[in-house]
This record gives sequence, structure tokens and C-alpha cells, in this order.
Amino acid sequence: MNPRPPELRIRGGRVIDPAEGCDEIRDLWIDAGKVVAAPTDPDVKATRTIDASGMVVMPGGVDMHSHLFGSKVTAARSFLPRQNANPQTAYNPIPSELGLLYLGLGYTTAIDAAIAPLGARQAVLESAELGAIDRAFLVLLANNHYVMDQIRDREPERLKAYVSWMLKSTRAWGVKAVNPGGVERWKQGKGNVSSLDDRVDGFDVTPRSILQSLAETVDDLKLPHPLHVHCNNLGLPGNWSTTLATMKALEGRRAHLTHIQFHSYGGTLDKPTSIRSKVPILAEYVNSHAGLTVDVGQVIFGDTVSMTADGPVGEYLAELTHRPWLSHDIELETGCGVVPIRYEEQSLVHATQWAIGLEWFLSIANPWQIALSTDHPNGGSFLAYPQIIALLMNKELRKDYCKRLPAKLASRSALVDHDREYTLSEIAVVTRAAPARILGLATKGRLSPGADADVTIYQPGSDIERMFARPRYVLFAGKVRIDDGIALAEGGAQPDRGVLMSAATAPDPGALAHIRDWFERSSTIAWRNFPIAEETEEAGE
Amino acid sequence: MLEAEANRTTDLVCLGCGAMCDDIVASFEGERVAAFEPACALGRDWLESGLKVEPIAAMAEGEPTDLTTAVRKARTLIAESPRRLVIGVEDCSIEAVRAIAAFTELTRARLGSLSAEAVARAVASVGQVSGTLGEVKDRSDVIVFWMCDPIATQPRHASRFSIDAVGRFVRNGRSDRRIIVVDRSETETAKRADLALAIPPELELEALAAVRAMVRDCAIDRDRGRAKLGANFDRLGEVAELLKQARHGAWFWSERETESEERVETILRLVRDLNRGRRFLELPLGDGSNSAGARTALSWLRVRRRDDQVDRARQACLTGAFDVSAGDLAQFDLIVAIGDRAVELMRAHRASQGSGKTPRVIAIAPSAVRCGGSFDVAIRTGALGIRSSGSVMRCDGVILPVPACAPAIDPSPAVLIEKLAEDRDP
Repeated sequence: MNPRPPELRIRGGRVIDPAEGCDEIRDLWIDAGKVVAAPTDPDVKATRTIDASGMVVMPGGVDMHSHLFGSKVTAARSFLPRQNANPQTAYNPIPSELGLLYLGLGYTTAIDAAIAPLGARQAVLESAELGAIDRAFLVLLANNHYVMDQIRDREPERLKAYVSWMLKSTRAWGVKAVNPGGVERWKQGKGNVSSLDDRVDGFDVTPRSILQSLAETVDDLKLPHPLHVHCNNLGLPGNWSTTLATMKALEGRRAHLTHIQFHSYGGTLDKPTSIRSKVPILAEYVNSHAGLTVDVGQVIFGDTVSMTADGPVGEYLAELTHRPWLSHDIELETGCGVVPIRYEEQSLVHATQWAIGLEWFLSIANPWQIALSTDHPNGGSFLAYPQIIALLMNKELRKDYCKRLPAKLASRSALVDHDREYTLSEIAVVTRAAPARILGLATKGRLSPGADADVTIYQPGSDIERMFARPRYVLFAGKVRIDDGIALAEGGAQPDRGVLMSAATAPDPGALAHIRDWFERSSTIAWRNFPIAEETEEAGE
Repeated sequence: MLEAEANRTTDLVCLGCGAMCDDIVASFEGERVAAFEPACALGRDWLESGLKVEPIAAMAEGEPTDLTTAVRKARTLIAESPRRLVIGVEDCSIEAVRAIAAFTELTRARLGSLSAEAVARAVASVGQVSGTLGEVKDRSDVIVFWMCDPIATQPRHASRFSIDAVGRFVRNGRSDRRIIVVDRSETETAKRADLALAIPPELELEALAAVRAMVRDCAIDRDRGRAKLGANFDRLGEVAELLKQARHGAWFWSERETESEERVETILRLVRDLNRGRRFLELPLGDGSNSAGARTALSWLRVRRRDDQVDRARQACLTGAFDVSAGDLAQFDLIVAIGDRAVELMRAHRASQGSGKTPRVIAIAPSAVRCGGSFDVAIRTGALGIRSSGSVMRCDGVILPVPACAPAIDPSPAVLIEKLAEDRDP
């Protein structure tokens, strides 16, 4: 008896799969949710064939730094209902709409980059509503009391056990460090830290010691994703020196610096309007250190909302803009700030931020070290990715755009001097292959046999923005979910839903008694109520 | 069900009040509570009443019936009634809220609120500076109880979170803290205060405004203030001074049944002002309901709202706001009342309506059959945390898993709602 034929053949497309060094016209075969090798028998026919002749076939997009669910997102949604009323322009769509919007854009994996340990249960329940995209989240640990205690006490094994236990308990994928030590200092009413060597009272640690210890712990545990770092002094003029110091402090360890655009500012602190680009010096450092990666946090002009675990940044923005401020401190770990914001083309500060983001893309020699992000929704919506891609692929478009911006921008950023234009292959790197590799998602961002059959098929054209805004087909787990902009109904014949991906860690059982003793003294919830069981997500569904 | 040694449970989550203590050890024999530790009269009453099971599982048209018949009858009522309202979502687990959201999508039922909407509107208007209860325990050296009395209403609030709680930066508990109580009269909490004031309710807004002005160092017409607030004006000056001396502060308050947006906004603005120079958080005291969890879950679920204006309906959805007040029942011909509070509301409504049977009522609650004669269909469910499980949110946004501590006898509200929605076309 003949074996069952593969479910799907995507025929004759230009397959761009940078992870395999592939950019060629060929077929792609799919079965049981995975990419499979082409049948050796040339007479084998797939159950279904998609004719992709003249089209571009890429792995599904991977958004490695976004804000998708959890308490900050629901708070922002409730806080700004008017701005979120239209799902096409909402900053914080409800999860079921968010999932569809990602799919419609050709993205099949998205990561929420900031979940507080105590907020993980909500994140797991809420993320179940995302529908047919895979997701994961990073747990916040750089202002965590137990973490800082162990760093002070020079107890690396305990720290390792705690990080391992935390990932397992919260079902997180990786570790995020937000403004290390700075949030704790601010919550003590003593203001933010300003340098890597400021001390955090009550813990006798510094941002430097937190960063180094956490990065080392993440490496020791061999977690798939390196420490995900939101540097100190986000958004402040002159913060580039802190960013460079952070890079140097992490030398020799794996690290990913996120929304790097917000950390690349020259200028002086007493004059917020003085910001200017310091990308060249920072990019030069990244270019010479292969272990460092970044995502951009590109700013997009228009209304959006800032949401961050960096509590002091929320307060700074609220005071600067005189806008309503939503702030929520979370015990033993972190803060949260939500402030509406509008990026205006005629603002020199905002135009400089916009230019700095693009400068980063054009200054990094190896595209595998940089990922596309808007830090959704902080810099703007992920729905603007096609617009950014178009700007990266066309220098004339960039130069034309700059003419709309304040003339003084030329003295703040060297963007117009960049003639580089991204190729389609480089776009495939920064939108899927590189973020998947940086995250350590072995079956994402690639189309080799064994990879998840998350595939986006584009109809090329002269209008690059349109090409990327409206993929011809989007497949998730081997099923066509978007066909010419139309979402196929969930359930019925295509019941697949995405999964929450978690790091598989095995905490040292010998260290649990110490963690438990601390937890029971410190937390306002019981020890047994902290870990999230696997059934929780199913309950959410 | 929890780890149970015979009838002993550990880490029971008590929903007897807004503290939602999740560290309770209890044992019971049948429907009698033998032990409840740490001791708490409110919690013990809650467990004891939740353990009691009404002898009848369901009633239809005043007569006892089996569950299957009751569900069938309820489905018929839903099919026959074009204008449907669901109330009591605030008393349901997050899992049940999800089932209710799906039910409203399928049946085009509307959602009625048991509580005021003023808080959500005020937060959307001015923002909110808040935190989890552990922040207060760990840091707050000044705590204000504004028009709330946790010693009476949440017996373990003081020891777990506030007045007496020992935290990392408040190592000596009570002696490291200054406690301020402002209420309508002397309360149990006021007896534990360093500074306590009694303010008549009609002067509350005036008092809040005075404190806010003093905290902001605004020029104040003191004669006018004294004329309005009497001797309390100067005491409020002492309050303002204590607030300004705080290293870290917390402001607890209770939402009123008939809340005004202006009152809530004034509190939110005052606490934001207090953040200049120190950290200061505002926290609603909460009750034993899942009001915060229901509102939050509704804001992430797909719930289409019925409103002539699409944008307004979307906004209501995103804030977790409800369609109508539960007091506004006349426009509906069927009410699905879930939970004891909603059932009691409908019982009182029915009693006030005399023999009139409009709107018709499907009651789903532990106590539903107790007054089942008043309703068209009444179905008994297990009390959440006792004979049914789910997740609830504390008033500070922390979600707790709530397991059942006694054997389940009835389907949970979530399962029942799913049954009611079965076989219906979208």
C-alpha cells in the first residue's frame, strides 16, 4: 500500500530561507504541520498544491519583542478605550484580534517581552485567546528581591536554581532585565539609577552586578535565549554612554539588547530636546562583538501608548507630556507604567528617534545581529512593519520621507548619508530568521525539513509596503489561515491553535527549601499558588 | 480538590472577604467546620455556609426537578426570550466569565453589572497609581484608610498586608507605620489609628479637595475651609503633613454602591500628586467577589456589546464595562442570574413586583433553589472555592487559583453556562 501523500506542496515559488542559505525557485512540501523533504518519487502528488510561481516564499514572521497580553496590556486597553475602539488602528487589540492581525501580516510567532512573575497567571490565561499563532513570554527578574539578595550574598548556585524554578513556575521562555536595580530604587522613593554603578539600597547591588550575574546565570543554564536587556536610562538624552557601558559589562556573555533605538541618544539630561544619534559608536561595538544582538524599537509617527515595566520611565513620560498616567507596582519584582503618547513628524525629538531606529538597521553589518521591532506598541504598532521594510529597501524613499521632517534633523542623525538598501533575503533575516535564532526557537524562522510549517507567501510588486502588508497566503502549522487577506474560519476543518512555548528547565530540588522559605516570608500569596499548571492555559481556552 | 487528609485541607483560598487569604488550613465534618486556621470568623462562616448543600438540585416552575430537565427548560426560555440579560458575572470565576462571554455571543444576551461603573470611567479619564498588596506590606510607612474599615470587614488585612504586616523595609510592622483613618464615624480601624477623623458623607469631597490642596501647597482660604469643615479642617492639615512625610504611602478606600466619578477622580488625582517626592499607591479595599477579575477578563475576551454606536460598544468592551445596570431590569424579558448576590437581587425584584412574572428568571447559584419558587428555573451550583474551582483576581490584580476543598456535587457555573449555550446557532 502506498504511504499517505504529503498534505501540501507549494510549487515553484522563490523560497527565501536564510537559515539554510537558500534563495532559489523550488517546491516546498508540508505534512502534519512540518516542512518535509521532497518525496523521492517524482510521481507523488500532494493532497493540495498551491501554485506559488512568481511569488516569494518565506518562513512565517517572528516578532521577538512585543507586548501582547498580561496586566499592562489589559490595563492599557481599559485605560484608553477610545483609542483602542477600532481594531485596525488599536494599540492594544484584544488577543483574538491581535492574533489575526499578526497572521494577516505574515507573522506566526510573537513574544511578549515583559511579564511580571506574579502576573504570569493572567498572561497564560489571556494568551490562550491569541488563536493560531505561537507565543511565548519573558519573565522580569532584574529588580527581583531574591535575585538581588543572592547576588549580594555571592550565591550563584542559588541564583541559578531560582531562575530555573521561576521559568518553570511561570512557564516563561526566557529572562528579561528591565532597568536593572533602577525600578527597585525608584519604588523606594529614591529616584532612578543613573549609572551602572549606582547602589540599590537594601540590597547592596548595582545595575552592573545584576546584569552580569543574570547574564552568567542564563548562560550557565543554557537557556535558549540570552539575557534580554532593557538598559538603564531608557529614553533619556545622553543615555548612549550607559548603553555602551552595558555592552562592555556584558562582554564575554551572550546578551540581547532590546529596543536599542530608545537607548542610543546623545544630548544632555537637562535639555530633553537635545537628543541626537549616537548610533555609529554603539553599532561599531555591536559589529565587533558577534555575541551581541539587538532589536530596534522603531518609532512610527502617530498616536500610540507607552507601556513598560520600567516604572520610572512611565512617570518621566507622564510628567513630561502632562498626560494621564497608569502605574502599577508589583511586589518583589517590578513596576509598570502606561502613558499615551503621540510621535509627531514636526517634532525634532520624535523625528530624531525615528531616524535613529533606521540608522541602526543600516549600520549593522551582519543582519543576523538585528531584528525588526517597534516594541509594539511603544514605538508604534507592529502593523507598521511593511512601512519600515519599504524604507529599508529603498534609499530614495527614505530621503523623500526625510524631506517631510524638520530640517535640523540632518544635524542630529546621519540617516540621509546611508545608501544601503536591504535585499529581500536580508529582510527575511531581520523579520524571521534572526529573531528565531536569537530566541533559540529551533523550528521557527526556517523552512528546512523538520521546521514548523509556518509559511508566508508574498506576491512581489513594485509597492514593497503593499507586498508585505498583504501576503497572498499565510500558513500556520501547515494549514492555510490567510488566503488573499481573508482569514479562514477557526475551528471546523482547521482547528489548530498556537501554543505557549516555555523553556524546559529542571530546578535543583536541593535549592527549593531556601527559595520556599524566602517566598513564604515575602510573598502575599501561598507557595503552592504560585506555579502555573499546564492545564491553566487549557482552562483559559 | 486540595490535598485532603480525610476532611482537612491546606492552603484553602478563602473568598469570605476581599483579603482572599490563600493560606487557610481547615477541617470539617460533613457540613460542620471543625477548624479554621488562622482564626477568622468571616472565613469560617463563609466555609460553613458554602459546605451546606441545598437538598434539591434544580427546580422548574416552582417544582423540584432533575438537572437535565432544568437545563432543557432553561434552553427553551432562552430561545423564547429575545431580550436577555446576564447578571452576576462579578461573582463568577474567570473560567465562568469566559463561558458567559461565549454565551452572550451566541445568544446576543447583554451583560448587567452588580456594581457601579464610576471607577472604570474615572481610571480611563485620569489614570491610576496603584500596586499589589505586597508593596504595602514591604514598604508603606504611612497608610490611609479612607472611608473603609478593614478591621471589621477584612479581619486579616492588617496582619497580612497593612497595619501590622512586617515587610522588608518595615521590619517592625505597626511601630514603623503611621496610620490615618478618615471615615463617617469612629470605626474598628480608627481605634488602631495614629490620626482618626470622622467626616460626614456630604463633606467628603470637600475634605478630599482640602487635603489635595494642602499636599500641593496651594494657597488655601482657611476661613472658608473652617467654615465648611469645622475643626476637621485643621485635622486634615495634620493628615496632609503626615502624607508629605511619608517615605512610601498607601491609600485604601472602598467603592460605594452608588459611586460618583468625581469622588473617584479626586482620590486618583490626589494619590498621583502624592507621588511627587515619594512613592504613594492607591488600592481599593475590595470585597470577596471576583469583580476585578471579571472586568479584566471581559476586557480580553471577545464580547460584542449592544450599542447603537459601534465605537462606544467597543470601548465598553475594552474597559470590561457592562451594558446596563442590574437595577434596570424592565427592558428585559429574561434574566440569567448567576451567583448568590444576583439571585438575591432577583428574589427581591420578584417580591417587589407581586405576582407579575416579568422578566422571567433563570437562577444559577448555590442558593438558587432555596427561593426556587420565585424563579422559572433554578439550578444549584457548588460554591466557588468550596465545591467548585476556578481562578479569581484579588483587588490588587493578582490572580489566584481557587481549588475546591470539598467534593463537587453539582456542575460548576462555567459548565452549566456551556450547557445552556449548546446546540445554539451563532
